[in-house]
This record gives sequence, structure tokens and C-alpha cells, in this order.
Amino acid sequence: MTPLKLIACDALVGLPRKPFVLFRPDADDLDRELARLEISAAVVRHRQCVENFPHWGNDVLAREAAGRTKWIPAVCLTPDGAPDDYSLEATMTRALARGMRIAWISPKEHMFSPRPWCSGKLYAACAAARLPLLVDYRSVTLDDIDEIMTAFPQLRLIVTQVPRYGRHRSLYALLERHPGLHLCLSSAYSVHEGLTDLVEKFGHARFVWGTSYPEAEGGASVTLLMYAALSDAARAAIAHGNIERLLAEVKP
Amino acid sequence: MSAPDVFQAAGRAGRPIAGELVIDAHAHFGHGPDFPIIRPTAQAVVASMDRLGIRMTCVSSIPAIFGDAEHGNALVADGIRAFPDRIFGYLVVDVGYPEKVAAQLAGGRAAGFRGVKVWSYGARPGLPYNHPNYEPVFAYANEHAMPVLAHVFGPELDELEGHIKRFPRIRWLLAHIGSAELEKYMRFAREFPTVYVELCFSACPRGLVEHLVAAGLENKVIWGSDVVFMDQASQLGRVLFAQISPAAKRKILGLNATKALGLAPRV
Repeated sequence: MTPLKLIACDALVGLPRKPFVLFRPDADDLDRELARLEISAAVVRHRQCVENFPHWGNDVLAREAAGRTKWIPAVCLTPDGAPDDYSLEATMTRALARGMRIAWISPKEHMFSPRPWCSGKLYAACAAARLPLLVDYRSVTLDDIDEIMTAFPQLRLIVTQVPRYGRHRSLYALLERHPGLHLCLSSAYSVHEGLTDLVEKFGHARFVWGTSYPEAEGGASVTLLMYAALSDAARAAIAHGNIERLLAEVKP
Repeated sequence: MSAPDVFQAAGRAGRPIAGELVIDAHAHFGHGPDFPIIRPTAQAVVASMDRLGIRMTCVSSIPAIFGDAEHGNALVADGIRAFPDRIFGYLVVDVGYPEKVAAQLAGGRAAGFRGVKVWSYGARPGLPYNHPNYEPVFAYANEHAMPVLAHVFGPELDELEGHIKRFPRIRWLLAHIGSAELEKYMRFAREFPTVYVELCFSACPRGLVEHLVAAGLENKVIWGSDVVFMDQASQLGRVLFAQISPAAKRKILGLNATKALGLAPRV
């Protein structure tokens, strides 16, 4: 029987300056993990974007992704665009022309406020291009997300590393308030009945799946999804359908 | 060509694990203090067990852990009554109030609890394991050869070491290996025949299970999920997909627990 198609939306490839003890998350390691877990494709960010500077990491990712058919590169954006022209518009235009279909921000590491007064132009550009934008739960506050989504309701914001806080009081309120808010659910979201409850309350269109690569055992995310009490349609949407739709809807 | 790994195949397909003994050695019923837990009931946990192929889950009460053993243990007692072959109960006692402890221990054992759960401090303050109030708890568990599941997140290991040495009839399950002090957990598992290390940990550290097996601890590692605080399925996936032999998975998922929990005649 063919296994359910899986697309992981939160991979972070690349070697940190301080090595991990039990694994070495380089490009080949990611490919081996995708093969081992029978994952069809992965949205890939590069660690050099946070260990080094963001646009350096984007270039490294572009080089390493060449020829790797399972990778969907995610471009790291900052509100000021790429050095040395510091033009967000030019950066977006170039990246979209080169095939960018998904992006990410890391406000803490890159020392900018994620709130609209600072990053509004970035969100406006992403919303206009219908470009999905990833952000790690740990790098923003929930008040930040509320302000962002209030100001840019068309933005397709995907929050990764959603934690395991049960029926998360604030996150449920945000999902209620902002139909454009999406969550990437991986083993970090180890919530008893969590996927089932989210889908019962909000439908299945706003959730995508990830593996928390490289720090977590990816099999934990596989079973999180595969054993959840969900309809086949909901499981397939979360496994691959929703991210495929979001990527297909980007306007280059 | 090596035989297909039935554990990994089941996990990838989302099929219940069939024909294997799977025991979840660390679980809870009831709501917690910080965030609302979704359907934290015996019925919901047993439904999860059925989806995954788990034969037995070993449960303590969250309200009992967080200060109301008097009423909180009833959640687990009800679960034991409703699902006597599926639910193993760990009793929690109010160690802060030593005058209550003897009656709670005796009452709990009479109600069908077969183990003891202790939780020192962490998300909320509490007494460290080397506080004298624990003495009668561990003495009782030792007298009745009951397993003790101890919440550990690193520093508590030192507080437990004396008890481990002095109460040889207790089988100790030290929870959350991988959270901190990995080498010390492993030393305890190596040095003390009565010590087992238990796996549940939300970070699901990659390579940990393989590391423990490579270090020769496959007979001392026990799987637990921390449901309803966490999801049984994701914690199970850490072992189903671990790059170890099916024989080692069999031990970690169930066989070691039968020894640690004294379950062999009943499971």
C-alpha cells in the first residue's frame, strides 16, 4: 500500500557552529531522513540564515538545494531587504523571479520588531504575492501575531514549533480572530487529542505538518499525524494538500 | 535483506501495533493547572490506546499531583474500575501533609493502585525527594514491593540516590530521560539493578533512543508518553522509528515495563 504523501514544512538544514552530539544535520542527512520516513518533500530553511546573516544563508541554501528534488527552499526575509541595496521591493522581486514560493522571518535573531510599525511593508509584500510566511512560535509573541494579522488579514502566516499547551487559550483565540493564520504541527505539538480538536473547531484547511528537523526524531511527527482521529480528507490536507495549495497560489 | 520492521511499518501507516505488547508506563488523567487539557479522561485515553495498539497504560492523577490527592486519586480509581485490564494506577499522596499519608497509602492500595507516583517540584513548588516526609511513602512502597514512578528533570536524581540504595524492593522509574543530566540518568540505570529510565519528553530528542541502546541500556529503558499532558502517538513514534532492532523496541515498548511494574502474571 502506498504510504500517505507527506510534506514537512519546517526543516532547518545546516551545521551549527557548536555541533550537535548525536547527529549532523547537513544536506545529505536531511535527504536520508526524508527517505527513511518516506517524506515526499520538505520546505527547507538554512541554519546559516540565523548562525550567519540571513541573505548569506539564502545563498548557501540556493547552492545546496540545486539538484535536490525533494527540497522546497524557503527564503529568509528581513524588513530592509538584502544588503547591499536594502530594498525590500527589489529583494522580493528578485526572489519571486528566481522561484521563491515560501519565506520565513526570524525577528529575534535578526533584531527587528515583528510588529507592523517595523515589518509592515514586508507583510504587505508577502500578502500581495500570496506568499506563505513561516515564523517560529518562539520568536514572536501572540500579541505580535494578533497585531500582524489584524493589520494584514490576507497574509498567509504559518506559525511553526507550536507548543504542547493543550487547548491553548491564546492560540485558539487567535485562530478564531484571524482566518489567515495557519499552524505547522509537528512533534512539538504533542497534544492529546490536539489535532482532532483543532480540526473539529477550525476545519482542516489551516494546518500543515512538520517534523521539527533536525532536533526531534521525525518519526514522532509522523505518528502524531498518522494516528490522530481524523477523516482521511483532513489527514491528507494536513499531510500535504494544504501546503501544496498555498504554494500553488503564490503570484510571482 | 533484513525483515521489515513491524513497528515502523505500523507507525507509518497509522495502524495499531498488532501482536506486540505495548505498555505506556507514564500517563495521567485530569486537568492541569496551567492549560486546559483536551478530554483528559479514561475513555479518551483508552480510545487512543486502541488506535495505537497499546495494551496497558499506567496512570496517575494530575489534580492529586498538584495538591489534592484526597480527591484527585478518585479519577484514576474510577479508571481502574472501568478498565481493569487496561489501566494500571499509580497512587499519589499529599507528602506536604504527613498526617494524611498513611491512610492515603493504605486506602489507595485497597482501591487497586499498584504503584506510587511522586512529583517533587518543577512547574509548581514542592518538597524535594530528600525531605523527610517522603520517608514513610518510600518505606511503604518498599514493604509492598511497589514500583515508584518519580518525576525527574535532572537535579532530583541526587535527591533520590539515597532512597534507591536504602529501599531495594522498590523498582524505580526515573521519568523524562533526555531532559537534562543524561549521563547521570544513564549511570543510575547502569549502577542500580532496580532503576529504569523512562522516555517521555516533549522535545523528542533525535538520536536519544539509539544512544541509550548503543550504551547497553536496552533492558533498562521504558516507554511512557505523559498522556494526557502529551500525545501518546507522537511519543510512541520516537521508539517505533528509532534506528534500533525490533528486539530492542519490543523490550522498550513493553517487556521492560512488565519487569519494572511487576506485571508479568497479570498482563
